[in-house]
Amino acid sequence: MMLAAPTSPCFGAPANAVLDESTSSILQPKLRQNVHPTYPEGALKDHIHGDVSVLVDVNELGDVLNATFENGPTIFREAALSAARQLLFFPAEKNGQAVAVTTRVSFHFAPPPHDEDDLYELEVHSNVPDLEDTRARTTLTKTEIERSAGRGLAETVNGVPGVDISTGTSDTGKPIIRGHHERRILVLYDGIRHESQKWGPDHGTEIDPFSAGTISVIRGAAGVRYGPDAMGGVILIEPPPLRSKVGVGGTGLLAFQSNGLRPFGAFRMDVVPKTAERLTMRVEGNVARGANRTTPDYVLGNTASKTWNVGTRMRYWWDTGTLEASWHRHDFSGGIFYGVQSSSPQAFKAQLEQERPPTADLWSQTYTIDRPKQQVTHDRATLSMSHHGTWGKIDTRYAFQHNIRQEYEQVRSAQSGPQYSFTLRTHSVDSVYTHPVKAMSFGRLEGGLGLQGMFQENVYRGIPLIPNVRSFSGGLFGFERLSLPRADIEIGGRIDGLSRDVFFSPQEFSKHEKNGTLSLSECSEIGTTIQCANTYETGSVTVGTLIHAVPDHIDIKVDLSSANRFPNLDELYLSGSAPTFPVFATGTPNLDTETSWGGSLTIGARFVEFEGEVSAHASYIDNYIYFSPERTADDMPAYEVTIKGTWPRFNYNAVDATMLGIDGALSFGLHTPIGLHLSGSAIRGRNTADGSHLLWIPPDQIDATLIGRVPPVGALESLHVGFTVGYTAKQSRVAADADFAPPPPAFTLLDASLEATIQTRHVPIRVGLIATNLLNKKYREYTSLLRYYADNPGRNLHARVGIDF
Amino acid sequence: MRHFIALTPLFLAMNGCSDVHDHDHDHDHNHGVPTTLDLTFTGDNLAEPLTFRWTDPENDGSPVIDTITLPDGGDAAEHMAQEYTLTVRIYADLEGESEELTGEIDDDASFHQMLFWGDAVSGPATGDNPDALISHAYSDEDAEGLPLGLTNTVQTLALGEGSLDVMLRHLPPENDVAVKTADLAETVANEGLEAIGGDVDIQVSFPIVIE
Repeated sequence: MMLAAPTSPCFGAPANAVLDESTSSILQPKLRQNVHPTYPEGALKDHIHGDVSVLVDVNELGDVLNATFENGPTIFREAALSAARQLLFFPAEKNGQAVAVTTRVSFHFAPPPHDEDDLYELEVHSNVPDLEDTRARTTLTKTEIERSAGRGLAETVNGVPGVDISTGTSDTGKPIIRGHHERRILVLYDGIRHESQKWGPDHGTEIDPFSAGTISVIRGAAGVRYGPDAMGGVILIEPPPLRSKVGVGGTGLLAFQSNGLRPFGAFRMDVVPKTAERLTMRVEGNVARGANRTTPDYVLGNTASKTWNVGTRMRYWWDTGTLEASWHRHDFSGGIFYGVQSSSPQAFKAQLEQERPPTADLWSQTYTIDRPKQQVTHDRATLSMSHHGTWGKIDTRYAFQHNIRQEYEQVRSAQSGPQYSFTLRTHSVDSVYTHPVKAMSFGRLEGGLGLQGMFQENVYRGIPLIPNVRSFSGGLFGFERLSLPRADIEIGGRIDGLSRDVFFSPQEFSKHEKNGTLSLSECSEIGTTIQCANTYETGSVTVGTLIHAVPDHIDIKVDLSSANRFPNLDELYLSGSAPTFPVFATGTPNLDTETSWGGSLTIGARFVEFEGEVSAHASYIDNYIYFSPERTADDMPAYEVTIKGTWPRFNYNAVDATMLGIDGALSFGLHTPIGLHLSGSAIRGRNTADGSHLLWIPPDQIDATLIGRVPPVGALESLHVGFTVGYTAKQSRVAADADFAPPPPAFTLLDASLEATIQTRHVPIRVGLIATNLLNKKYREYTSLLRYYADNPGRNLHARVGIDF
Repeated sequence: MRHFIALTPLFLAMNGCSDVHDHDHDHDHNHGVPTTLDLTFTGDNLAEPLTFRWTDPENDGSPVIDTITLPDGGDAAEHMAQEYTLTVRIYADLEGESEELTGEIDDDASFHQMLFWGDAVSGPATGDNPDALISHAYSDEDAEGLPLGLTNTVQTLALGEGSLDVMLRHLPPENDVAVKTADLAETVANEGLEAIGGDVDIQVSFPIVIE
């Protein structure tokens, strides 16, 4: 059974004298909550399109008191009336006072190209100004998520303005938002903080993009609502809405990438049994397999990977609430590029000047995953309940995440197993109480209180690198939002605390004693373990406003927010050399909490043939934890003499930093045969102590996409082609002598796409072909770890076929 | 918060037996991290072999490095070449008892090679060096007939002081193709270490005196 709600309601001046004569001076009611009508099954067979006009009576509070069918195909009458009665408005105004009026609402019905999931898709569009968040926020649609089928989360969100990717030396990537790398980004899946070993440069984000219905990227500090780490932004991933009608529905997707010969298959099915109409069950899974990727000149040896995901979800609902349980497993195995050599700094620097890695001729496009490699398994189980009444609403979630990461170095054949093994266990409870919407004559007040708690253990086994840890953390926050006809104002506050116990072996502890970073007087000795404790408390605030400067057309968002981050385990206690960098890294145990204070000004516009959002932002970060070369007491570079050579010492220091920038996207010709889409970003980051530029800040970039919309041809609908020219500048703002290699030169890439929907008798089929780096250009990305060793992958053709059933 | 802390035993129970304070599992694995390198010189002029050691048993960046002192075949007034057999032994000390790794390297000889260079050395990995105090030549080979370097021949060339750098290069095959080549040392001499594949297992420098 198919459902659809192709468009949002439209509003227009009534064509006859439904309203009283004074309505000309009335500020019309503004839609506050949209409702999608259900496409009637009876219309499906004949593929009926049609517009329905409904007159709705809206009272002084913005509620719909009555809805009357005016005109349109009668087959849509009940669906339109049902939806109209559920709409919510900001009340109409006359002379500043809320008044009751009757207005007209139009619904456009079209046969469903997709299933229920598309209700979500059609509600949100990339680059459309978001009318909820007071920060810049972009939501990716199902189609945009499908374009990245078989790729990771970072690649999926990479097209959002202000978002970049840090690709690793394995088949992994990490998102960067406004110059903030993954440490300062929060990823939430279904409202749960994703907890993993995200500190390593080659530790990808273990999230399955295909299990998402929507992915929203909030750009800017959002610590109050989401908690610590949300300094650069937040990636919110919501699963597709569960089916609510009796029957079976689902999605299937197949994709193939030419670079790395990578097939991908995915499947999702929802079932609502006739005998238990309030119960929905879902099973889903996908698998991707990849051979070694290729640059324009050579194969990237040992970059093959294998990923699979499987999950299930069940929901039971009753009149005042829902109970939901889910489990999901993500499993990733990936080789680490052969070219990442453990070598002396001198050899490493000399290697940077080489055109190609020395053994590149030996590498072939094989699916074999060899040492060095990484293997990650992430399990997530959740239990959530939502309950509402006249007293408000409470949502509570418990989650258990079990993340196992194992890393295998190239070793002698007498060695077996991983050389580094991390087990992270996280229990979390999140509860949010939302009070009833308080309707007042001048607006509506919404808000609530939230509580978050987390218990976490990190157990490390292997060559000494980091200690074991047990921690408790908790947060308490409150938020209120006042919605006025022309503006929304949001305020919030939050306090957080973290208590952490660290367990050292005598050998690990002796390293810190030798460095003078820890002493026994600060810790306690229990058997053969030395236990040290640290605690952090912090607070954050937010004040934001969303002004409807020209209602329905231009919105202005102003946001002032703070966010915090507790120091990571590696920043405090790391001691050792990394396989990817010829440096000896040491943590600094007395680091304090990072705090950012920032603001953003975002302007969004929506017209018939133009829409866009541009956001300027600035922030000051207190105690910005920074990985930099260590200096001796007489201000000379510090070195560590190890059995693998003499390596420079790097450590973590807290500096104060500023970051500012601008990002946004503009679309012209939204419905014309030819359209243009522009997006870009620029970021600047400085150490305020000496004015030097921060490392790893993405360079300026701009993309221009020409979109051609082709009228339907036979069964082909929604046919469009796109050509994108993307220019990435050279990052010329880097601190001297702070990096091993100079920034790579600027580059321009050409991408192309062809997408359509094939209407068949039974189900529509979505097809797409996307070519990236069409000209097979050689280039290196500044934010990529791979740039030290090899070129970026070359041309890739990505073909996909998807159906909903 | 009290309620939250009260949940701790529950969480611990769900985690199984918590192992966060237990480091003993480290001993379940033989990580085989080299920490000590011994160079032993034997020669017909020596009553006992001479062993010189580079060691950092805690692997914490505080090595103890011997100075290699070798008698020349002549005297203070006149140099005369003296030949020595140089054998290499490698140990792992991190995990309690010292464990010798030399056998593992010999077993994987096709994936390893010792390299010797420095301002005091003339040999395959350095090419001609007019200032060299010693010459180096490989005396052993792997199953493919390629040099290994656990046993070597060293001959004094001049009196003086300098440095001897020693590397154990790990050269596992890539895509099932051998990385180790017959001319590996010569490639280092001509193009530098960056021109060869593989990883560094050991790279140390000894002061050396020929007297």
